[in-house]
Amino acid sequence: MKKIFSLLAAAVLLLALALPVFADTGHINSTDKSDHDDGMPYWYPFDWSGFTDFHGEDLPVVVDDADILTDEEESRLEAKIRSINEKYGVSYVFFSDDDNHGLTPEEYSSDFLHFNGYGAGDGYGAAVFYLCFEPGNRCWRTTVINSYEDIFTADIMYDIDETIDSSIRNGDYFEGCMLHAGYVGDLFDEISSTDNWTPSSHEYRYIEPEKGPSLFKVAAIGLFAGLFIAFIRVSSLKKQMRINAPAGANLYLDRNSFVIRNRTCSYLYTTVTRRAKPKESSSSGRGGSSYSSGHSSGGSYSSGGRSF
Amino acid sequence: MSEQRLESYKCPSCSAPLRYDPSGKLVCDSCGNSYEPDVIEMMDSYDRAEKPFDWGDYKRKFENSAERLTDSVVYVCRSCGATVETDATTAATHCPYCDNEIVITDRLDGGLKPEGVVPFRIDKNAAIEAVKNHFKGKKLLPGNFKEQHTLDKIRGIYVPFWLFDSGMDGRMVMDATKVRMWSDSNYDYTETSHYLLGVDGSMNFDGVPVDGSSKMDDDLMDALEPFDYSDIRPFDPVYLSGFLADRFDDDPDQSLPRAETRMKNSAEAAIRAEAGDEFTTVTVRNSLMRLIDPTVKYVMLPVYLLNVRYGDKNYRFAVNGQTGKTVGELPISKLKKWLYFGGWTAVAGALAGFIVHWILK
Repeated sequence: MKKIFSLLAAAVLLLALALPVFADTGHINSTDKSDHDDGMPYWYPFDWSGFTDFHGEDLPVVVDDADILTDEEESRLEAKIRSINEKYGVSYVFFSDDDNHGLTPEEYSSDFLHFNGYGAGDGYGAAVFYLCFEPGNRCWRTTVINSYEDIFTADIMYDIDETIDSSIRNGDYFEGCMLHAGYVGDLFDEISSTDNWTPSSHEYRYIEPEKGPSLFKVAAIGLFAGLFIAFIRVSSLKKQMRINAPAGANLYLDRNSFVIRNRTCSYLYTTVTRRAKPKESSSSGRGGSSYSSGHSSGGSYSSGGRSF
Repeated sequence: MSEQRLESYKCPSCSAPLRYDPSGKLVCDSCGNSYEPDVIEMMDSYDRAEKPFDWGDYKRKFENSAERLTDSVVYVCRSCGATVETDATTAATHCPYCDNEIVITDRLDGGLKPEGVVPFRIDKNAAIEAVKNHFKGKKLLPGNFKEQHTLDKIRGIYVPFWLFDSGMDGRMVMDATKVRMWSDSNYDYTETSHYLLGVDGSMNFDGVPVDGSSKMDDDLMDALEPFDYSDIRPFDPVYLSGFLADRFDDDPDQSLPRAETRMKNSAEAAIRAEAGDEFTTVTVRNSLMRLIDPTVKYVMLPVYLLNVRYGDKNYRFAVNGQTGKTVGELPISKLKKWLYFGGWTAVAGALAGFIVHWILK
């Protein structure tokens, strides 16, 4: 009898301990994938007041909530991302959804990283490739948080966008994801194998990095500007040395006597010319933007991407 | 434009008949100019009858009525040939134009009395101060230039001037454009409407001065303006005391073109400004201007002259004897010029380089 009570007590205790797990919905590994009552997604914490970054455990690296990839594609992408994360000790994840839940894509993807504990190292750096399929707002974003904001500069974001642009626009999302992961993997490989790596030493694929003006260029511009200003200045000094006689007789013109007696105006013809306006490269433009606070998690992030 | 009508067109430049050229223009075989037919049509309706200024009439009238300076002492410069006169109490030793010695001559009659004179209002010391001020702040002036002259040599001289009063009447034909710009989502549009303007205008000029001395630099005298004509007095030899007076050797016929050019420039600018208010651009195609009833007065205006020999060139400075305004070309030190050029290049270049680096980095 005593044994039975012990077993029952243990069972009740186990059940009691297990209940919060079954009811847990404020996390990426939640078993219940339904949105909260307030409309926020299942991985959103119920209370994020006083939220601080943390290292989550057993985090998925492919979260295809928009269900755009096949199971096989998800497996291949996951394998690639896990190999990158493990090889370079980084935190990089793919995420898709068809609803930003009232937030901007940047905020939403940033919250995804912050709230789920993505982040590597002391700097809690993390990067997500977010494919947003919200109706009327289809876009992709490469959003990074914390220490990765120094790595993924506007130029690198632009380079990534150029790399995946045609694949995403053509609807080949898996190829786009693989290209994105490939670029990120190459970037971390470059960083790990380069002493004192900086974004300016990155090997860009599509753009010339801005490395600052060359000394020759600055000297040449300075010299020309100096010569021009010196010429103007010395010409002005020389003019002081000359006699400057008036060309007209304005001093002696009787203004009251001035009369326009007759005036004819014949219309001849009209020409119209038009010049094409320069085209915008994309809706979101080059590079990313930095924000801080003002959205749910309050954490900072950088983000870049385009609509499609 | 009919063939018959064509025959009556005259060249605006030389009045020779114009002929129609297959290029669509009217060509003058006499002077080689060619014109757009619409311009010629517009110009042709303008009454261009010249009313030439008859200096002969004025000269006869003036010479008959004007007295000569009978009590003056006449000096002649053997170097430049200048003939100046003064009263018996004033001694003159050097030519105001070339600074060489002048000598008294009794073989010449006194010059014609001018109709008026503007007396000197500033004295010699004030004129010297004015010249000193003229030198101040001239950064390219050679360092030893001021040592090369004696300001005491400055001399007051009455310079003969012709004051021309005249009406100016003219027609101008101008190309004008109005530009309108707008955009849509794909293009920027520019609409340019072209017009042909014809404007007739007239105005009067009072007292345009031209110096009547061939030895005086015209630009120097023009730059010395203005003189206050309200101070013109009837000529009296007493004004000559202590000063020299030059005689005119350029008559109004020779002087009028200079006055006419200045009046035309101002008249064209005034008409063009009036005509072009509503247009984006106005370009003059043709202009016909004529003097209307010009008249002239012979007056003496007060000028201090200083000649400075520097290097192998003579530099002449003139001070308006009424206002103290000083003009005159100054020598330029090549060394200073290049030092300033180099200095400005270095300073401005370094500053520009710093700014460019700051912007581009």
